Amino acid sequence: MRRFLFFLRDRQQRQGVTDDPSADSGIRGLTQWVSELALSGNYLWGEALDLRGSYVGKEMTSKKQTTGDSVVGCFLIQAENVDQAGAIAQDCPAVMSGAMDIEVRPVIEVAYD
Amino acid sequence: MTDAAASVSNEVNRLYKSHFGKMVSSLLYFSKNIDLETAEDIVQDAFASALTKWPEDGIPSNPAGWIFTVCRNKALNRIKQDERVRGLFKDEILEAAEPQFSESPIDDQQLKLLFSCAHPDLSPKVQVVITLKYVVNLKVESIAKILGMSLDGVDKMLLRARQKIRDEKILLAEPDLAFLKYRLPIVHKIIYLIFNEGYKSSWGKQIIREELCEDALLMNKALIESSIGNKETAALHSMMLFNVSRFKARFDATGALLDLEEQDRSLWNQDLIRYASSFMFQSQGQMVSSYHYEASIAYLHCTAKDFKSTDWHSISRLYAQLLQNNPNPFVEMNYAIALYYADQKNRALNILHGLQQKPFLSQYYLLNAALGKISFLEGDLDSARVYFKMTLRQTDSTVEKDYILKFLARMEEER
Repeated sequence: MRRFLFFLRDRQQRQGVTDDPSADSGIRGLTQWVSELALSGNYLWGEALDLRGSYVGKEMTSKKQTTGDSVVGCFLIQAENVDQAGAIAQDCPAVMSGAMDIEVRPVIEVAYD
Repeated sequence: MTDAAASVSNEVNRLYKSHFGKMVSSLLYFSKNIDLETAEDIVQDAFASALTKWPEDGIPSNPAGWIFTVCRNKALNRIKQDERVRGLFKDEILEAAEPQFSESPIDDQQLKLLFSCAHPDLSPKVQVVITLKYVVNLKVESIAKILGMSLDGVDKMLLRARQKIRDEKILLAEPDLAFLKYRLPIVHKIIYLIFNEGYKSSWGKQIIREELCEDALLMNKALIESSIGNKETAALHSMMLFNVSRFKARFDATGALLDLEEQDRSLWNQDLIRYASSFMFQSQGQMVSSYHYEASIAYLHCTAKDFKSTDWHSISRLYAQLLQNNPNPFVEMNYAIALYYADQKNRALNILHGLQQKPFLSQYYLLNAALGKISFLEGDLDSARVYFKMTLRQTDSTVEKDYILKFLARMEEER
């Protein structure tokens, strides 16, 4: 099993949880997906992220307000291989509906023999 | 429907349920010029022919052989029709003999298909979908219903899977021993997930659910009998049987959901509990898997005289072990619930409240239902009401909603 970080990007850059009922069912879909991944032993950890934050660099600190690509969630998943990790991301209901994209990144693990 | 038509329809459905995937894979073996979609269409067509022909001609003595002969003829016609492959067709050696289709619930060919479906590049969900399609032989409508998905969703998954099946010749691979050993854990997981879909109480009493649990048990039993299975297979079997022994007690006569505490334990099937115990005994060895822990937890529930005298201390320790194997917040929730009944209320509540802060868990029906019940038991009726009301928005299941409404009504009475 290898570990992968999933970055969920909201296509419409919606603000986190709103009173919009469709957003609520979106979260429910994600909860369902996450609980299924837990049952299949693939889910390790996950958090939802607030869109408001800041960029910090050597010469600048800027407040970030939902510009550009907005990561709204981050998951740590374990999968057999990179193909399976991709297939798991494809099953995500938010991806199936087109509301979100997922960036799948393998965690680099250094093996010490 | 006339009696003859009804008996034909029953026989065709029975054959579909036991042979669909095997026919598709036999057809793929038959000619390399047939792709998966075409093979599936041909097999569907052949079953439809049986429905029209058999009421007049009578059911043939070898029904599976009859259907496969029709499949083979339809396949030959398709190949001949296709101008582009006519040249190829001449060179191809077509196996003329029809394959022997056995009548046993799960035969070797289906076991092979099961291992083919356990392809590590596919997601567990897709593995489950194609196992239901080609090994359990369910139609797309049933798969959608069982998984709570739209037809379109299942079709999209099958489309993705077919691409992979075609590219990697998944239904055609002849598995060797090393391959079987490597894939066995994936096969276990598929069976476990299918069983869980059948066991979910959120759907209420449905025959299709019981059948799904039976299908999971049949596949697992075939693994045990095939000598491919190992101690983990036995542990999984015992876990499933312990749970099945409580099947009938989970709903009352009106179909209302009953939790563990409310169930009439005299309805638990003692024969199945003894049978499950024999597999638990068989599963003992050096290897201790998650299935072993889950089977042990189920054993402790099944053998407890009543809810109160359940060995919650041991159960909480088993959940702690399970959590080490499979560290995730959903197992942690069950661990906390066990701690609560094992008189470690503060630790339990700390964990549950911690989980409630997490965005996905806070939307999880079972967590809020558990917090509601515990608040109720602790006499904190205001909090209980808040949690219960939250759960009503978090499930579409009528039985789950009714279960919560029953609690809310009880609280009103006790006011």
